[in-house]
Amino acid sequence: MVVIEELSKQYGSLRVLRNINLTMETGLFGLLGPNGAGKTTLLRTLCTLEPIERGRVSICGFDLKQEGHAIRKRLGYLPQHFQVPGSLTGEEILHYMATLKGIKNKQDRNKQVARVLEEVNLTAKARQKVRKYSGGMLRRLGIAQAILGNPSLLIVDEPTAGLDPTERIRFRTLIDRLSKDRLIILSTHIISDIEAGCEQVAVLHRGSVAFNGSVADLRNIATNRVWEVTVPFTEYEKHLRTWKVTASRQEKNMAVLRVIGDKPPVSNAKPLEPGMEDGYLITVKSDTDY
Amino acid sequence: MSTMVAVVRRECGLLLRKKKIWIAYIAYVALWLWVIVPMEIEPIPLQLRGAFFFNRLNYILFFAMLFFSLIGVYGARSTRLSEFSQLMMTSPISNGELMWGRWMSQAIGVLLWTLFTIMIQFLWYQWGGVPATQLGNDVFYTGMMVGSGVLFSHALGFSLGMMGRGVWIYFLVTSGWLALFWVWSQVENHDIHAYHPMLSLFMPASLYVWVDEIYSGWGISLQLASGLLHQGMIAMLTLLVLGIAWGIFLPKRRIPWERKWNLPVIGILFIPFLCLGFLRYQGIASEWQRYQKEGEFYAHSIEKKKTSEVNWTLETMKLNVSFPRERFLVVKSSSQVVNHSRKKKGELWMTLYHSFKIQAITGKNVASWSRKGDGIHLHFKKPLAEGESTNIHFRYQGNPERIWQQTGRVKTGVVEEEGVFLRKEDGWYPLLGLRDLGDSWVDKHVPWRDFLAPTVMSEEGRTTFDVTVVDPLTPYPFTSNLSKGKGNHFKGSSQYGAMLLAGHFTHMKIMGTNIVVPPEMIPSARKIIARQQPIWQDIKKQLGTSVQPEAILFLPTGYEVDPGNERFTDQGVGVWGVQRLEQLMAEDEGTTIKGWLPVPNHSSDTQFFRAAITWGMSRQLREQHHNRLAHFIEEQGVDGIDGQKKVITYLEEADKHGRRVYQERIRSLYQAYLRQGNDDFTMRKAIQRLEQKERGGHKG
Repeated sequence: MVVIEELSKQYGSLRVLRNINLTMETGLFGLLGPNGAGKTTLLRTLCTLEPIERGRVSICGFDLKQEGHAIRKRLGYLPQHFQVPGSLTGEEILHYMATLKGIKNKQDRNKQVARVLEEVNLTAKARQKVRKYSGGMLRRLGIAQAILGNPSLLIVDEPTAGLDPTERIRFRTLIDRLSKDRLIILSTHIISDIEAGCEQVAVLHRGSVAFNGSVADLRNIATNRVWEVTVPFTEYEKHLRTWKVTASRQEKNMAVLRVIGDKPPVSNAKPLEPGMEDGYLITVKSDTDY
Repeated sequence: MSTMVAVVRRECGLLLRKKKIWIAYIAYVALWLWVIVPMEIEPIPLQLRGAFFFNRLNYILFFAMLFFSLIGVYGARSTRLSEFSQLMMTSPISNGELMWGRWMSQAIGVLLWTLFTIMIQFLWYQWGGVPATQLGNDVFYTGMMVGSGVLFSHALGFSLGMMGRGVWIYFLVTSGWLALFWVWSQVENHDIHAYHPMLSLFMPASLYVWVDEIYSGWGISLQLASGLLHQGMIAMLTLLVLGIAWGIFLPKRRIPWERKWNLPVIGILFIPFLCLGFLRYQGIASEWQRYQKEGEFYAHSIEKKKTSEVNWTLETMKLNVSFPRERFLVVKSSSQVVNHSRKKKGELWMTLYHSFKIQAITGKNVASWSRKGDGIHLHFKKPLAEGESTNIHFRYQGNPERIWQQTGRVKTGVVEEEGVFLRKEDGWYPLLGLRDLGDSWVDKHVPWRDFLAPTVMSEEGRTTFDVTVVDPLTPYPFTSNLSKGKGNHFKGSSQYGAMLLAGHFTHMKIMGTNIVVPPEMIPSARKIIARQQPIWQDIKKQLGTSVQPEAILFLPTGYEVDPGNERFTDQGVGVWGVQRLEQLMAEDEGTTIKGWLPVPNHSSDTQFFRAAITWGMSRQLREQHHNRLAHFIEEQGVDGIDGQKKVITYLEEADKHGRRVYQERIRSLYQAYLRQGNDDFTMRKAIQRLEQKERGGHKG
């Protein structure tokens, strides 16, 4: 559905994307990476907001460079900073966006707007001005506008940033439901969001694809490389500097550390079941001080 | 298209919901009220709302153009860069629909502003009872000018905003407009006497002198055609600029249709712009050429010393005038000239505007004639002895139109359907003597800054005129400084000469003065005359000389021809434009008196004398200076006043004995002034003689 071949991009002397090669099929595709890895640039390129300099991208069989207009007809996008005019109501925003997406028949538009409002559970607040929406409601409105016109490709950039836990869970459920019959590219640095619903994941690091595979494969990278070590609390600071500690907790006067390493850091280190976060951290370890 | 309409509708809705927008509009209305209300409270407006309105609008419009260009830049940047716009760009909307839609929604804000402006004008005119025709013309002109001018500046800002991301565009736009404003204000304040006429071509709105090929008179109605042409050109330029912006806006995002049609559309828009621009250019260039030719003519062709034939009088002048078409007249004249020289005279110089084609000059005693510039040299069969007269008949035709450069470009010798304006100084009928019909010089440092001005001329004696207009051309009734008979027939004796005028005018007498005035200016005329009349009477009482003009022509809004800087041409047809009226109303009593004194400001002595006369007449000055003449004189800044202490003491002594005594001394001094002549007059000499005379009188 989305085929990216040798995609590169640079701003001045700064290379933000380097020879990206990715293939994405229907379902939820997770895009992970530290800040500045090039996730947003890649997504903006897929949304036709950034021109392609080198490489080739095909979406739903259309060449992005030549047939951007055809791709935009099949696209839904929720940007990282979803900002809409606060003086309009949620319903007005959706009508406006529906018109832009080419839903010109008023009856069709009414139906679709009502449907997406229902989908995101905003029907009761549809006639409220957007400036009065909470952060969660605004994100849901963002999703509602993105799914107008039933797009085949949905791109969501950092959708759960700033949401409270309840909103986040509701949002994940919604995304999960929508991913049944379309490709959703979910970009985030919140690993649990991807772990919860994605089958495929790619990790971008310094503009390159550092990992591309299933969530399980990413997790497996850390197999036999995660350890639990218990040390006196007084030595906590010292070990933080020498080992790659990803988590810690205090038990009485002892500190229990989760450590990543190819070998057990101490002889009594206990091997642990790896998580996706461990696999991600190993992938981007070269510049991440975990 | 429907997507674009939706964008316009939604974006307009958004715009109109912004409180700041309405605050800005309310502030704009308040600004006008601030201008209008004081004028309505005090009797300043003189019923000249049009003049005041356009004068103020000129300034407001410039700042509006600056403001809306910046709004345009802001609009373009938000179209390119705002988060919501970025979201819009991920939808299938085309670049054109997005860009034009966003621009149009903002342009509605501009049109709303225009609507506010014309509403204010409409209501103000209605309040002042301005006639419907003028109201309609002016409001249409304002709407056209303001609308297209500001829309263009907004489009220009919008297009520049599309081109670059940096905030430098704001500075570029601001400095561009301020530079233009500076140039305009220099011209408007007359700090430079001329400007290259091609500058008009680059103005976004037809502001008075800026747009018309020449600074034509008769108000807005005459500027309407050139204004329409200019604003049409600006409207096409607006579309062209936006077409280019469309091409520049995200070129890689364009849909196939846009890729194919963008350049052809720019080409299609360019053609009408080019045509209208060429017509404008041609109009200005041809007028400019004509002007330069005329300037050249007056710079080199006339012997300036020979200004009049002092020993002749033009006793009668019968004129039969027809206007078969615009910018054309046909005249048959019969005049009687009398020789007053003791010597026999066999030749005579007369003057007629050189553009006329003379078909015949006949007369029982006319042997031959020749032409040199505006001059006509007549030779008689039999020389005329003192007191002898002869009749001379002229037949001629041609275009009397003349273009001048004073504070702006002005036009006289007008023969158009909208009106006729023929002054004696245009040489539209044969004048006695060899006269300068224009005054010209060239500024070598600034090639386009040459100067061509109408002249002021006076006559030695009175002439009895009989003028008949047979083919009037214009639907407006004719009027003149002469008395009106039946139909378009004018008769009377005048020392000034004959002026023919047709337009939206009324001929009437106010306090014994002939007035030619547009009906809406009658109340103003009454006010002005009521202010001047006592001064004319006082001057006559004090100096024994009448300074009351034979007739006064009040010129309507937008008309700016004042012959020279005098209040009236020598023997008395005043031509008062709006600026002059404003000036007269604003003057204090002392300045008004000085303005009418028949003693020109020639030397420190005449300056002193003028101050002394004024003191005798003005109660206001006496109150201001607590009856201290010396104090008043000192304040006048007369050169070498320290050496005039004796003279001041002499005048002060008279003043102590009362106003009547003081005025008697002034009258005596005026008699001395007349005897000595303007060049030789000194106060000290005049007073010495007066004292000698008084002493002689006492002894006797």
